[in-house]
Amino acid sequence: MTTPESTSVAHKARYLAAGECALVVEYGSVVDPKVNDQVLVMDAAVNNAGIKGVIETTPTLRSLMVHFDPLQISQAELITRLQEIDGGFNSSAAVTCSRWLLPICYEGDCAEDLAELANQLRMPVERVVSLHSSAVLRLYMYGFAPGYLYMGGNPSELYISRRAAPRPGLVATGGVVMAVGCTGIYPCPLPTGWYVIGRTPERLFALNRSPIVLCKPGDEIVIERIDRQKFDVLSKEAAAGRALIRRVG
Amino acid sequence: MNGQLRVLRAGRGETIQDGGRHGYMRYGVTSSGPMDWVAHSTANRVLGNGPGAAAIEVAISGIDLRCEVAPLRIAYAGGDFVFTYNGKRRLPNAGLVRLNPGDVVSVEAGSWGVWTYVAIPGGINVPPVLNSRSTNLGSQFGGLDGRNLAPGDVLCPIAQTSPETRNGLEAIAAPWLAKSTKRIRLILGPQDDFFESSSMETLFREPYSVSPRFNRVGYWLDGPLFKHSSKGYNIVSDGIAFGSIQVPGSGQAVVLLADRQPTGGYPKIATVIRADVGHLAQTRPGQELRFERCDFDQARDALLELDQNLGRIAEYILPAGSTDSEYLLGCNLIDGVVSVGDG
Repeated sequence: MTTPESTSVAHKARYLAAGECALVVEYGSVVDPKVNDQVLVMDAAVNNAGIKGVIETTPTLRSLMVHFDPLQISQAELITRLQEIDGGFNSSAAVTCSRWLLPICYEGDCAEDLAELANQLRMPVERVVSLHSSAVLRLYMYGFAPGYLYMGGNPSELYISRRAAPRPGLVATGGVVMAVGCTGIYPCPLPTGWYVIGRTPERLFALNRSPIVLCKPGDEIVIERIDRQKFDVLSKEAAAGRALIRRVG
Repeated sequence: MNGQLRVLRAGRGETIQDGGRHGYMRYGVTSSGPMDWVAHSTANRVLGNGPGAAAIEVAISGIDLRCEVAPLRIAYAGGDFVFTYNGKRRLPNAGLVRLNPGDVVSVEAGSWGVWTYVAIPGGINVPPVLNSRSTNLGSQFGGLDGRNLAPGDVLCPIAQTSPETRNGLEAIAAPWLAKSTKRIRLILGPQDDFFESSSMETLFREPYSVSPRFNRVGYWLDGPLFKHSSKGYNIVSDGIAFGSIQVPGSGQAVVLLADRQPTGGYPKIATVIRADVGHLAQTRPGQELRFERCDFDQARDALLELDQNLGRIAEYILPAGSTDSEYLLGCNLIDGVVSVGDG
């Protein structure tokens, strides 16, 4: 599935050394679904290729980091192999992705910064929630913390800068935060410099579960708005091991 | 019965680390692993362990360990740490010791270095989490409940220990464990184009030092600040390699190490080569650091040489008390230690 923005021409990769044990395959310098698609297609292709000496790959918003053992493969050989792989698939290739329906509560203590954010954006709280909950979010990558979902696709009306300094206190597990045109979901309690606008009862990351994450980069997430009462009910179900998220596409 | 180690005293930074948690950076999980992989690997190989077996990483604050239940061989290597046997005998800075139940080894920081590693046969038997026994302090999993070691913790070996009949104490006389006075070698990039060329000159000309802000995530550098080019200092997040030098808006650089985030949003001017990253990790706050530019082939050759040396570790194990070794004399060995551990 491709997103409406995916009309730009495919970017040619740049190969950048990150020491002698890692190589960056960079497809762009911006947050763009097309660029991210290229990263994800390349990530899958590199892992399928089983290149000797490649230890692991880290796909990000706009680049793929390839960690490798230089005693098994030289940087030049690796670049040659990667270029072969990169040239081997159609530039319009898109990752196969799923669309998920995720419950999020935008009320009360689940949305500690919502009133502040609405005030900053000079719009009613209900408008913020309505805009955010009707967006189609795209999971670009995991990063910042284990299982932290880094998502784009926020409505442009909701654009706001990061806070000048991190807010006091920690974001609760499942906390939904927003800033710089992106949405994040916290896998565990951590500080943030973004705005906490909601909370999901789903456990999107669990160490004792296989797979440890439910969504993969490239997937889309649409939101089922739930009230505070339902949040409590679903939290109990999640704690009992029931998956709350539903595949809808 | 297997011997085991009980932690009698621990400071604030002793953890269990294996060769690192690989394959999960894509989920935002840091690689963890030892700060000085060369010392970690040395201690493990001396015992015949795989180079990535789980060992104790001891920080400057030190640790006291007691052998219990049955005899146990331990090997240790790292910076200059003072290892004391049963409160009286100084052991070599790097060595292989057979402990009997009741024996206590105290580890305290010596004249240089930040980390030392204590290995036991087969590695430490804690349950792997995401295929690794490394402690992830930030996310609180791996090792022992994802935390620093504390008094009362018991560490058991994975392998059956075979009590040795030969001398109970040997020294590891490995030259690569000595304090490095050489410049730390760097490969430029991946975002060196985000900096003024004057910053590149400064990096290789001026002295830097490790700031008091240092931990397993990274070491901040004191010294001349770096100037970002007109491209600014915000990049869309990309991957961070072990040893990459990241420069946020303040211009103060931070070398990102074992517990770094796998991705980040500031430009990285250069990356410390793998052969030198352990030396950097062993540099204490305030101690001077100088950098030197290097290329892929030089970095690979340096790594290959280390790898080959580590493969010949047996040649560097000497009976403690050998009087013909300047190295051992340098270790300040005291007469009679050869009897340590002989039951």
